[in-house]
Amino acid sequence: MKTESVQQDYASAIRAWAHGMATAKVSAVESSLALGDSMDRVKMFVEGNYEKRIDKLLRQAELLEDVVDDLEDRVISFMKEVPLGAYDTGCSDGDRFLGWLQDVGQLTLEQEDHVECQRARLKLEDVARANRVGHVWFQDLWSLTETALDEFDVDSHDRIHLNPIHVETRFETTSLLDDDDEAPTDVVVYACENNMRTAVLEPIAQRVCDVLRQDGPKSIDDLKDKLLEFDKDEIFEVCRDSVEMGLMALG
Amino acid sequence: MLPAIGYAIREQNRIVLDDPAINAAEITFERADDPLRIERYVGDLDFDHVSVHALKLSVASPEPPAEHYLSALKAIAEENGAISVSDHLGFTRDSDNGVEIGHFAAPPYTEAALTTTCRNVDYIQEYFGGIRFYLENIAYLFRMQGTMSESEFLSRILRNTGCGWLLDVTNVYANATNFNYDAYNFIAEVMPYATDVQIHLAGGYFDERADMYVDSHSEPIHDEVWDLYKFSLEVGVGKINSVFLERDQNFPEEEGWRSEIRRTREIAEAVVPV
Repeated sequence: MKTESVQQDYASAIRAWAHGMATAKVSAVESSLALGDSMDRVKMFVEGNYEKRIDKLLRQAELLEDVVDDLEDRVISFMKEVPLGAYDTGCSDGDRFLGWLQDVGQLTLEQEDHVECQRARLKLEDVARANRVGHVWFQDLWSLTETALDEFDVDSHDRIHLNPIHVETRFETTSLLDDDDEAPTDVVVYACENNMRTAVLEPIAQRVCDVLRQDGPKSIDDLKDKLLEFDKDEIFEVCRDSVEMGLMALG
Repeated sequence: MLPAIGYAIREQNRIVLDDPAINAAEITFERADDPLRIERYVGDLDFDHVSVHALKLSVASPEPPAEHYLSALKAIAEENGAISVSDHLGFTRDSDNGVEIGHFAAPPYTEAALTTTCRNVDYIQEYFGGIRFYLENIAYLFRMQGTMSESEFLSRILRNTGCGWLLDVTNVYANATNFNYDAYNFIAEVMPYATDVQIHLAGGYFDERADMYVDSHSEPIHDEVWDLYKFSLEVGVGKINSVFLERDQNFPEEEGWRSEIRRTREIAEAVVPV
């Protein structure tokens, strides 16, 4: 047999075995198993991987634990339909599950908000993974905030930097908000040190973020030139609060 | 020369990583891939040998690993001053856009699998350049039909590609126990074909119900594995540059971590000429 054909046969066999094991159809490997080796061990292997995937998906959907009663059943239904994708980062399978849940789950608005929040957190990990240099650089800058804020006033020439590791989403209910917040509202999930934080964005904060995202770091005066509809003092207050909570930094 | 000795880093053993008996560290890529981490994974500690251990290169898959996975591995290696990267001799997926099994399975020991695996290892080595690549022998629950022994398959990969061997002593012990072959012979047969060798040691348990040794990384290292480790050092003199201990469950107290490292070092010091 020609080498090319042998390699094609090998590739076909690997595809068949991998698909079989990924979808718990262990019969796919039965005829290829080494003499004397047991199908029980193949089942043990597949079941072990199946259990690990359940655990991982439940961890990636942990925010839903208290609002979706049959979460584990839904995870199992998802796994029956969707095999684990190649190079699953940990986030990707979780995000696929949450997307699937939104498509088929007939969720309440409260449950939808929890799904959106969880998906934003998973997406934030992807953003940080793709821009590690930006994350480390920003957190280093933000670590100097306490000193920098002492000298930060409305006429400061310090430039304001937007935390590059952030994801925006929207909540339709107040279930994940503080008592004095109103819904629906825009929300930003962002990295702060090694953690994630969530904040409700007022319209003015949203506009400041938009400008910083589009144009890069700006001083208060520069922001005022771009945001004519707001007072300089208002812009300053928003920036100071955002710096304090880690969404922006001074540099 | 005495191998560098240390742990596969887990949060639970960070308390002992500055022990003077530890001069090596292994980073499991999937654990280090915490995207919000600010510090480098090894922190401010200095080791003589840092290695990044991967799980998804899937060297026996029909396609070489994807660039995004390789670049993420390389970034972690460079950030932490790693001089080597390792992964397992097996397959975890069918193709780059396909499905993941969830754990590595042993390929069939055939010429076709050998050709594919060698091509992938060559590709990986070229990608990593100066970062040395090591291939680990895996513990398996079942094997596919093949035309050669595992030791011949592994030896020919080492010979054809020149990659390093990550000799997982416990995996050899597990397979030898579960599939009735001689662990000492396996190591003696493969060692001549390896130029550089890393060692993994871990502890598992014998599951009476399933009638098999389970490589669970959950127990202290067994005496039989210590003996096999000593033998590996003897037959691999001049080749073994590092030893990494793995523990993933039932974590010991601080003294437990320290005592296993001391024993690892004492055995090496008794065998390897200084």
